[in-house]
Amino acid sequence: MTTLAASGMGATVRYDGVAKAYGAVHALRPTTFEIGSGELVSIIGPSGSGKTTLLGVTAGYITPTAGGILIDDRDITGVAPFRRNIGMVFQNYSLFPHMTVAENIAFPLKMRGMAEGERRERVSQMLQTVRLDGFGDRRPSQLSGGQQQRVALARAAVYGPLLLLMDEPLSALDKNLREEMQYEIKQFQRSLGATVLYVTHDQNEAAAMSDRIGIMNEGRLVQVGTARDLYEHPSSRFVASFLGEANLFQVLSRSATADGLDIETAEGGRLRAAAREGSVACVRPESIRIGPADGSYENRLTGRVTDAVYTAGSLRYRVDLPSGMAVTVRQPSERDVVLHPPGSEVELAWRASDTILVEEG
Amino acid sequence: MMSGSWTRRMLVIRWGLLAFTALTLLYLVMPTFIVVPMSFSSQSYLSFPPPGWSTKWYAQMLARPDYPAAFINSLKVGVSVALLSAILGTLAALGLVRGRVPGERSLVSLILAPLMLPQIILAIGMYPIMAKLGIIGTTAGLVIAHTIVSLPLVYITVSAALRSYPATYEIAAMTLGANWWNCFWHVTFPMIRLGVGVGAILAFAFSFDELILALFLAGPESRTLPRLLWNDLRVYVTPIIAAATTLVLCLSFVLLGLAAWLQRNAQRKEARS
Repeated sequence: MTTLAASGMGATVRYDGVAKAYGAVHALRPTTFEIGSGELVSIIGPSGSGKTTLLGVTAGYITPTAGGILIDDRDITGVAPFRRNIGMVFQNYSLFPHMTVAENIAFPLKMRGMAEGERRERVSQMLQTVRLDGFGDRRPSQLSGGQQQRVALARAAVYGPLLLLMDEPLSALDKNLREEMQYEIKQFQRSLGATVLYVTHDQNEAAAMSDRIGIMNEGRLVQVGTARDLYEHPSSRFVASFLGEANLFQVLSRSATADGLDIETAEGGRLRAAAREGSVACVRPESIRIGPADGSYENRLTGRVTDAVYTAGSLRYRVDLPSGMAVTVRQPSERDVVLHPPGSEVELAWRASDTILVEEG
Repeated sequence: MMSGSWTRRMLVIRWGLLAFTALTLLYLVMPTFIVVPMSFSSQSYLSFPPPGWSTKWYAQMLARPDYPAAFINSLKVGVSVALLSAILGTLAALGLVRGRVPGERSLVSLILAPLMLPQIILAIGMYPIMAKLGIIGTTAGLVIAHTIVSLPLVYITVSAALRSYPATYEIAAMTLGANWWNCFWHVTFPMIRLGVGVGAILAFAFSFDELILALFLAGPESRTLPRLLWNDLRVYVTPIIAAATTLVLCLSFVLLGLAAWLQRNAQRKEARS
């Protein structure tokens, strides 16, 4: 048996139009994308968007209704889950309560018919890797949430699977521990060179951990890219509003000029944008300046502050435009920054290049 | 003082409730336990309270050939019923709780129906079928009939056990390389064995004191203890009947105690960890 640790390489995974329908309900629309060897790809999206179905068809406990999955160019679509050599970490850890920690980690090795002596050696190695030596004889229920998570990780990786699937593995942990475990999982993944498909509903977690992020909505994988790509160049209204915050203006008409694009919007009147296709204009809260601005800002609007909140490190305003639209503005709170109290009239300004046009949908 | 009269009133209410509860319990179990003193009666007919005490009826019961034979028949039928119900009920629960079965709700109702329906209907329906199959009066026939009614008991306890933990444990086992059998043997069964055990005990207890199906379907060589008691009751009403009933009662209590102990033990284990 080859192991990840030995080869230092995870497999490549290719989804080739894979889809799952339950009658007329499309849990997963035809999906095509690739995960590179040793890459960590996160999938985020609202609940019911198809993330879990994508995991299910990859692990093999959900049979796709169309398309296929190739791991290292081998078609595994019809292969039974227990023959796929894929590791999976669950939200509830799913550590077997009637087995000790060591028995849990040894389970996949035992299923593969490994001799007991070798099994014991591998388990103790793995316990060391996840810094749990001495915990082998305990029951999972005697461990903390973070420790259980590490056991689950060890159990899913001990047999050198081609691919690791993680289904919201940190959602049961509190915030501080979650951040620590994000780092640990990342380290663990790097040291093994493992390919990981990571499902989460927490976009910050996805951004912190992944090489690339895939965003799903209504059974469709709508966009895949780095966190920065997705934030700066969202392809659709959904992606723009799902990742971070966005002020969205409906584009009524557009006319190209020498150095960009003039657009007429329903909520903000005439705006300037960088040339791009799309019927929705997206402006991020931190691109907008509040207060007097110099002539390099092509877009200017006036509005009335209806709410001003100080949160760690930044000021958040809600500014109502004459059209009735509420614009969110976020500014870093430097020491000398002036707070505009609710009720005051303010000028908003941003650059044409910060008006991102995206598609409806 | 206000508070004094309040506490006194609470005390009265508490003792009143306690007395009421005790009386209700007494009312529920008294008729059952009356057979115990009657079985130690010195008189040769059933009477309460007995005029004197004796254990001769137990000796007479053991001296008669038909009582030990019926007892052994009841054990044989009960153990077979417990095993069969445990296997079939567990399979049914696994399929219906973990699988995606079309018409699941109606299937569950069908499985549970024999438990709800009057056994007399079942007995009348089974009699001609078993007569045709030639298994009327045989132990096998009675085992089949009892299993139909006890299977729901196992189904209920095992499906409850299966619902007490998410299916991700089995999915985890499978991704880790366990095929169907290993997944069941190493993961599912250890998690549901209490449900299987309690269900099997309940199935045995049902079979052991079942009369109506036995009246219709048991023959001379498959005569169970309740069936023999019924025969005796119509011919000579001696305290032998009370003695045999007391034995059945004891065994039933031991079994129910065992089921309760198993459950409490498991709960305690859970609480400890």
